[in-house]
Amino acid sequence: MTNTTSDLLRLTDVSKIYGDLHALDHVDLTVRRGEWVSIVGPSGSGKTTMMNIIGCMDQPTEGTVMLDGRDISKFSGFDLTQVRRETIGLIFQQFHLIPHLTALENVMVAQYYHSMPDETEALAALDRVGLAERATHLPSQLSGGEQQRVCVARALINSPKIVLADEPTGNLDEKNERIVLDIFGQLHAEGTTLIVVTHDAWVASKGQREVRLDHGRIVETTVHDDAGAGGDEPAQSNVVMTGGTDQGE
Amino acid sequence: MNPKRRLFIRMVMSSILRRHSRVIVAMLAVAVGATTLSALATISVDVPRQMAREMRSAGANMLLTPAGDATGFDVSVVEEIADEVGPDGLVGAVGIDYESVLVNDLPYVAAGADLDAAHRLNPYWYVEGDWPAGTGQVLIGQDVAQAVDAHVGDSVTLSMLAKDDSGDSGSQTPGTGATGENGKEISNQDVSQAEAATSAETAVTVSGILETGGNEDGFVYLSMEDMTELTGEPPVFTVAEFSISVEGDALQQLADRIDADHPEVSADPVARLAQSDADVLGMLRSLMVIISVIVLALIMIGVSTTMMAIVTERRNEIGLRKALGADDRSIIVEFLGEGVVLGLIGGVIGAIAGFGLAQVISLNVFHRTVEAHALILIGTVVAAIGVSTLASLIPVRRAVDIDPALVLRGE
Repeated sequence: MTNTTSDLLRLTDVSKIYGDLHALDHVDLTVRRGEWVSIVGPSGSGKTTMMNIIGCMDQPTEGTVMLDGRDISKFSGFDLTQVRRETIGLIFQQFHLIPHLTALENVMVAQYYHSMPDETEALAALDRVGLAERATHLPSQLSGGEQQRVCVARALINSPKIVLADEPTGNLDEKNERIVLDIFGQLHAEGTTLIVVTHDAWVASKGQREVRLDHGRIVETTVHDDAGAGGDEPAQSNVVMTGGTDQGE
Repeated sequence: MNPKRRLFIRMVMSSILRRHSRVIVAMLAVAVGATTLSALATISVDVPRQMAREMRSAGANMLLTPAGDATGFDVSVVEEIADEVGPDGLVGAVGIDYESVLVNDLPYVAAGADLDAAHRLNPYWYVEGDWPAGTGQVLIGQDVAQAVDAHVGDSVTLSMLAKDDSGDSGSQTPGTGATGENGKEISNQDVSQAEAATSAETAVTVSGILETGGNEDGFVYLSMEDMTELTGEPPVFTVAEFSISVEGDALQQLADRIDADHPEVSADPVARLAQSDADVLGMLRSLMVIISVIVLALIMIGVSTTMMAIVTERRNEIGLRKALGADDRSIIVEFLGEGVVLGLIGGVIGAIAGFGLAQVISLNVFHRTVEAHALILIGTVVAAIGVSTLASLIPVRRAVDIDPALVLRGE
């Protein structure tokens, strides 16, 4: 079922509790289609837990998660796998490429689990991230930046409704960081919804909205003007709200 | 081919071809197991067969005697039956013409035979000196040698005894009737009261003195040519001994067939030997089966441990595949696919190496080659695939339960 409303993701009163620890504590967050949201916060603030819940790799202890019009908070593991396969593109800080497969094959693996592998499409995805000529290289033969670009190509190959990136530039040098962010900028311009978890203020500023987490709660939301347009200078920012909830704009 | 299937094969082959060190370890584990299995199976099948032939060197296990009241049968019968049995089953055969003779004027039983064939049939006989190399040489039993005071290299005189038809058998000393292993009399001529029947005498040289501890110690063995010259009659056999490499019921069936096809003779298995052979071979087979099962279990443990280690270290990859949307089934199928290919390659290598190993063992122990059995080779490959797949299944099923979020965080 596809939802046509402007909200692609809505977290309502979501908590994730491990014993006495509230990794997420009554969080509300809404992400519109085509929006680029940055999630920032110190270590242990709940960023990764939120990413895992949005990425269908974990379930909330309390609250509801509406993704593309479906409440996934009570989905079984099998159903979550299906939603993840069809709706989400994942990018990791550690790249996580399969070491014995070439760049092209790593991209095609995502197609394999989604629908039908298509080498031409996979090559086009690699071309889009500037790696068409490195398609037959193994991950060990690629630089960190190139590996992350393969990850990006893999995340995009199935045209996901939302791309989740967990510290995508955390292991990259400045040059490769710019390349990856440029690609994100293009995706955003094409209407892809992006949620990027980062420690880097400059990377966070590229998003339209910056959500700050601390101790499992949203403590601040900042709206950036002219976000996603690239450039070296941080975008103009307006802090629009602080507290435990974020309702988007 | 379906693009999905093509990529599946590509992924499986990439995993095998590009992960050299790990794959070689796994393949070696499978190949070593398959080698052991193939060698054991080949030996299990071939060794009892080899042993059966070796055990047949203990002497004849089937006797041929004249049917009815006849006292002999044509020499051609032995060759005909030997041809019927065939070279695979026939270990040895010898026809013997037992006649009463005087050895230096003392009555004994002479056995005229193809002495080379007798030697092949009874390789365990202890001979002081040598087996006769041709005509004019004889092998005399130890009892005969003592009675006539003959030594190796001495010359003795043989002459025929008259046959006594009175029915009064009397004493059998110093010569005794020849008796088969099953107690059947094969030469019941009483030689104690006999007299020289002809003036034909033959001087022969003692090439060796035979010591078996049995009836043979009272016989004189000479070639058929010398016997013919002595009797002055065309050669006939009074008994024929066969050593045939078949067991139990098969030997009785063969004897029945010979009885039916050759009415002039009566074939009888030496029951005690046949049963003894069957018992020993049965125990040997049981032992080999037990050893094979134990080794197979050890192989499975070894291969499983290796496969578990290899699959476990790919937890991250499994977690990543799950994060990319793979369901448990597709991950299991992919890893089992690798298990099948590993098992296939390791199995083929092991089956061939195992045959080589069995060949080396057989050559060293039995001084004979073993035959390649297609069923064993195919069975080894199938077993290797089965073990490798099963060994992969256990850790993969455990690995698919992992939480991809934890694995991707490096926990």
